[in-house]
Amino acid sequence: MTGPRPSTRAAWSVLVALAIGPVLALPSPARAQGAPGRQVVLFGVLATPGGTAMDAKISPVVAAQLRRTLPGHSFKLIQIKSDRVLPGQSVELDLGDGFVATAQLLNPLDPNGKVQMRFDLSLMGLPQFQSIVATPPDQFNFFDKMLPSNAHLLIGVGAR
Amino acid sequence: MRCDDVTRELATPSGDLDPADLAGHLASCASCAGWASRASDLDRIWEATRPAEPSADALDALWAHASAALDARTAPATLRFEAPGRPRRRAALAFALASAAAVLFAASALFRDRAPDAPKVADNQVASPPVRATAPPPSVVKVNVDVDQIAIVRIGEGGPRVEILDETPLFASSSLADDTPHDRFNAWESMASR
Repeated sequence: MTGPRPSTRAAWSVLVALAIGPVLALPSPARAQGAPGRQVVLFGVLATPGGTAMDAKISPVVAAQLRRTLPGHSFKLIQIKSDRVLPGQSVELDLGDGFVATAQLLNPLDPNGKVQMRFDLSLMGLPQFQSIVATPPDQFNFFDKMLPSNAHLLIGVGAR
Repeated sequence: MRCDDVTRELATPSGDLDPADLAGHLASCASCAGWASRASDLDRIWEATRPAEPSADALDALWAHASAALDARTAPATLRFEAPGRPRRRAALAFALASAAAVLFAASALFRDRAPDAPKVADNQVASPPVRATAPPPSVVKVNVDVDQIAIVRIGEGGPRVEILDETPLFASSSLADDTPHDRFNAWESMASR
């Protein structure tokens, strides 16, 4: 039995390279894990005074944190987003009514072992609030924006 | 002087604390001194990443341009339109059009990259107080938390206020006491994928 001719082998090599190349070029989660980035989670919750109602989409662990943050309020999840980002990249969340929250990763690991992020809240495109947060990974911090209706727009940001 | 007061003053300076007392506390409290040092680091980050602000000269030039355009707009009112003079009427029309164009140009230059029109809010939505186009950019609040702490930044009419809560008592008496921060983060993240 004889193998394929050299010209046939070359043709097969080209075909295989064409087939595998695009797959290798795709960003895979496993490859992204090695990048100096962080998984950033950004969420918005509407807290209304009175009542104890808790949105069914909010897990018990999270509910405990929210009740501690704003006692005596009902909570409804507006939106939550989780993305892996590199330094300089952002996660943006449209909270409705013109409010947009953005969390930008500044430093995935500072000398104190913390993640540094920049948080921005804008209304109708106008900046309302800016903050730089240095926090240990796996911890959430909250921004509580009081609304004219006495409800609270509670925005949380965390990274791992 | 309490450490909470010191860290709060460092995060959002109010000027309420005597600088000498503040310095004295920082000299004798290693925890607050570390906090101040980290806050200083964040200041440097902010200075390195903050957006460029237009110079005073640029703003002056803009206002001068707008003022000149507005002055020019009143000129047509002083012109005398005479019926038989067709060329003179054309000239007046051209002047009026040029004035209007100048006003439009100045207005677009003035408000470019600034405030959009007044916010359009539907009846069933929460309306926020209008923000003037000339409003200064908001101050930056520095938040520096340690392990097992939660920072809550209250953004109210009187300005932002930082509260640091100890997370441990939150879960100590509950069934969640054995959860690690990692577990709690997982709880949040799982909500994002629902």
